Amino acid sequence: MVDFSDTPPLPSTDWDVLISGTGIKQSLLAVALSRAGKSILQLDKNSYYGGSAAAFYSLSEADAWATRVNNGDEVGFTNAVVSNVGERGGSGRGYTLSLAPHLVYWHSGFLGMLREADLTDGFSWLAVGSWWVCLTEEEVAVPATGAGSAGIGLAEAGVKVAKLASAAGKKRAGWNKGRKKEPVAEAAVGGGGESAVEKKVTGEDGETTLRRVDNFREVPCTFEDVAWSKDLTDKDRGQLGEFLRFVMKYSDPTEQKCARIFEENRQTSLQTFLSTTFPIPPFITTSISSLTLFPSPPSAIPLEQALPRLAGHFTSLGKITDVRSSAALTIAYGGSAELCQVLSRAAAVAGGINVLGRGVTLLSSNNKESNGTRKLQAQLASGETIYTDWAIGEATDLAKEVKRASGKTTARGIYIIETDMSWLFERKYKDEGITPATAVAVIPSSQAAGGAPIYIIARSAATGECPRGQCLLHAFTESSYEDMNTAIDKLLRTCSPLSKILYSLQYTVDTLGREGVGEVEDGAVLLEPVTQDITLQDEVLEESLAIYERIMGTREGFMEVSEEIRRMKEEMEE
Amino acid sequence: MADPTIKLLLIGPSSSGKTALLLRYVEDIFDTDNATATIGVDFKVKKLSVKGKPHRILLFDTAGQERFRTLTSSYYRNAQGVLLVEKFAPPNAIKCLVGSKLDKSTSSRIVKTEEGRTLAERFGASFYEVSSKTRENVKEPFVDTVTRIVETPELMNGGVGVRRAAATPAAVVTLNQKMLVKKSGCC
Repeated sequence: MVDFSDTPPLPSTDWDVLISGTGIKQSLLAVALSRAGKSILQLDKNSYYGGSAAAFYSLSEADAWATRVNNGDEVGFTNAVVSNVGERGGSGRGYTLSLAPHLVYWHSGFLGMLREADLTDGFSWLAVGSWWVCLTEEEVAVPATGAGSAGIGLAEAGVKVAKLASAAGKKRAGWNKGRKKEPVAEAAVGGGGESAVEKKVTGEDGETTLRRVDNFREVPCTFEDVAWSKDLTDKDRGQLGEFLRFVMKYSDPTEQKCARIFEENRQTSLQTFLSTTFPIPPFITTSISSLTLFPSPPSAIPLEQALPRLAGHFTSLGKITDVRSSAALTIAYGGSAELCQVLSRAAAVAGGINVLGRGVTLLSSNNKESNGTRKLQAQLASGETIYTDWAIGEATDLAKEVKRASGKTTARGIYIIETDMSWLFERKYKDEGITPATAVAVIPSSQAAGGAPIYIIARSAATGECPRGQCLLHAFTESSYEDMNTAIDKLLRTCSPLSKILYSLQYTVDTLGREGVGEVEDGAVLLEPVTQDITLQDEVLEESLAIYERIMGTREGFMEVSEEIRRMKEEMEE
Repeated sequence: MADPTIKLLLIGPSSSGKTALLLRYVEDIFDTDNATATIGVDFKVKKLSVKGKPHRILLFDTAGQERFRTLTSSYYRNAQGVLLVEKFAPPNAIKCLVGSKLDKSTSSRIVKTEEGRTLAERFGASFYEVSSKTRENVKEPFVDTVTRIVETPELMNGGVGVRRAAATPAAVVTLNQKMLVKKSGCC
């Protein structure tokens, strides 16, 4: 039991909006509604911020969470397994183990919103480096099988361009050239993006830009990568180049041919699509599929889900100043766990009140005769009763019953490695000013098995989440703990065979039932159960916007800083 | 080159006069009628000349979060100095203990001068007694803290936020607000 005796009572029992929980959506809404002038009470039953996007700031805190998971006290999480391999002094401080080490794509609506909301300065943004896929020589040797019926008329050209590039030892920016340029992007790379790329490749003296360490091969993302890959034949180069162009064009209404191909293949799996329409070898399909960050095999990802992810990746690539080989960012000190905290403070700055360790135990319609005009009343774990017009939260935070849905479970693991695994974080181009602090390694299950790939998000000590000389590996997969461990071993053996795992925490994320989600019953708004995406998806933003609109009657002004505050800030800087 | 920027935090119990001190120092305001818990902005900026060199001081207030002990760990990140009335601060930062409301009568004082001084010495901090109401000693704790930060190279050389391994400048991506693209509405 939490002792409330020394914490003060709430400043009021009367609120416009009660937000229960301090996850990403809850915290986002707390800021948006506080800034819009609503009186906001944001509660959390836990004594820490973030809910299922929390971070633990010592190994003891992580252990305590694992115990709660195994006691059935953390809805949506099961089967936590902690193992301490190495020695551990005291409570294991100096680590930040985040449940949400999210990647944020440069072109995501989420990042755009944070910038508009004047919130990006509250973080240290770090670059996400390359994707590395583990492929054996045998797997790479399997050729493309399909005949290539797509023929959007570019394959031939693509091959020519690639050949030219190979022959001259110099890249023609074919893929970039054919692409529509957005003024935004140009500004972001300081206008010199493309020429800088060109200079670099020629300066490399014909060396490949596509890196490889043992069986871990960098995923070819850029045209230059495609042109230089030693694993590709010229025909493959052409097909892959053409597919990349298709990814950039499929949602463009002026590109009728691409749009038609997309419409015809919405439900086709990425694997089938890539083996028939743009016949490329299976290993390239595996590589490309890894960019979607879906924990499913390419045979189980429908094209309509894969393409937006791929497009998000490719449109973001090359846009980040000083680190053009990167497409995404991540937040230091815990990823989205840090985001939740910064947002909660922003809500407090805008006048909201946040209280931890005080959950909602009962939510019901207000008996209006005696208790004012608010629509709802909520009883809190502290024994207090409050009144509010709106209550927002996940079902479990609004004292509603939650059932497990029959969907897939995801296995997750956090591993502390005693070495820094530095090659994963090396700069791709020597002239880049920023060293990536995160990299993605993917261990596909064998083609024959058709199983789910294992994703490993590596985070260096530059994230501030572990001591220097060590690093953290966050793994996720639809496969088993055992497969996850095997994958981690494989990466370790390649990186530094002698290094040990100092600590690991594995857990399972369930798919939760969506009963009642989205319905509004007397002002109670149930949020979608949190998904375990490793990227911060725009769906999160969209859901928050929809709820904001329901409460404010408009989407205008979402997260906007008031004119008065903006002026105050400008005056300060003069 | 932009002026060096220093991040200072104010922490301490609810109603200890943090916001009043901040407003008196930055804007020379003392408003007894309007004692709100927040100042509406994330931080206040004060230009301060240290040894003839201009510095930009960012002053962060708790936004009332201390009241329910919900101050986020992110609040403390990258702080180079803390002005506090309780014994809690990030390691390596310069600390400064401030006894506020000096204008109150001696009999109502919670902390005696000697007690404050002893506590400050124990944590290697400076100790000041101030009154936002009368302006007495308001500038001194800020100026002293900033001066001590400027004299500590590891706090000035990008070593901001020396908590643990910490994000090194070579890893941090700058999201310049000026690159911001105006969109109509959201998404």
